Amino acid sequence: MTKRIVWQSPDGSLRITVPVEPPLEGESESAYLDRIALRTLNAVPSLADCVRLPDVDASELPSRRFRSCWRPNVRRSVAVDVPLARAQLLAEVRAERNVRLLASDADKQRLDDLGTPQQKQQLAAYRQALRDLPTSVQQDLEALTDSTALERYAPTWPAKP
Amino acid sequence: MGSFAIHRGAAAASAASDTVAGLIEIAVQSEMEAATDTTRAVAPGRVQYHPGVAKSWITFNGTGTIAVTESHNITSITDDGTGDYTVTIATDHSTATYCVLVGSTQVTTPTFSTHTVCDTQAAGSYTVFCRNEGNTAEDMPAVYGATFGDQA
Repeated sequence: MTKRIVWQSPDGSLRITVPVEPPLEGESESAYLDRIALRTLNAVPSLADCVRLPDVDASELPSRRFRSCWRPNVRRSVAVDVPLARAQLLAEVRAERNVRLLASDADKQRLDDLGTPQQKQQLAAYRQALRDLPTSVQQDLEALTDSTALERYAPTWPAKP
Repeated sequence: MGSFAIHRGAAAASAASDTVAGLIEIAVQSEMEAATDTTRAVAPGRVQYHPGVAKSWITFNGTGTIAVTESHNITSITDDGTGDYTVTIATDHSTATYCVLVGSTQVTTPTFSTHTVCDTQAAGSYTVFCRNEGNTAEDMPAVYGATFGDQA
């Protein structure tokens, strides 16, 4: 059974049910999926607020790289919402940028005491490039219009001096 | 010389014991749940009523196309998002206070400091949250769940 039952939560996110119990003898696929959906709905309290969308084949589901960005498209199938995926990527870049900035704090303290003017200038330029990176990344992401391109995107990080 | 079984209520010529061959009754659900009787036999279809036996269990791949590897007494699993899953049990527990054991295996590096918890449970379902070393939700290639307790 490769069919999946799709539910949409009130916040728009999608939940995908994988049937496990085998079909009854002579049971049609639609009757089987309806039975599994009903049993799951009755057993999972948090599904009560969800709306069931058309079932999909597992092969039609997008890559899980942007799992939190899955939304129904115009055909009510499951697709990656590109603006949400851009926002997720940008948040990931900001988080990594913050880690790199924090890591350079110790270098700054050391160079403030012992560094040459050139070393201080190089480190300041590096830290400024890190601060500016989300702006340039945002511009890059705006130019990408499909989830495959977003999935392949990797920012160019400034080289640490 | 072996023991043999008769249906409950039938006349027993002589009862079987640990050392003597004879007639032996089949334990019913309540006797399995009480788990104290040492003179009745267990039938395969009633083993699950014993409190020491797992009432449901599952192992599944939580990455890529979510897929169940093996299971018992499970209706479905629901992919709720990255690292978040809900398991639906086929035959409910009698209450929502049963014991749930969950775990997962991470194969990508680093292979330590991951944790997997059951966040909520109802009589017929429970949720599994998988988190990595940074406490961020992450799909795991092998996720496990088992439940123990009284069945409805």
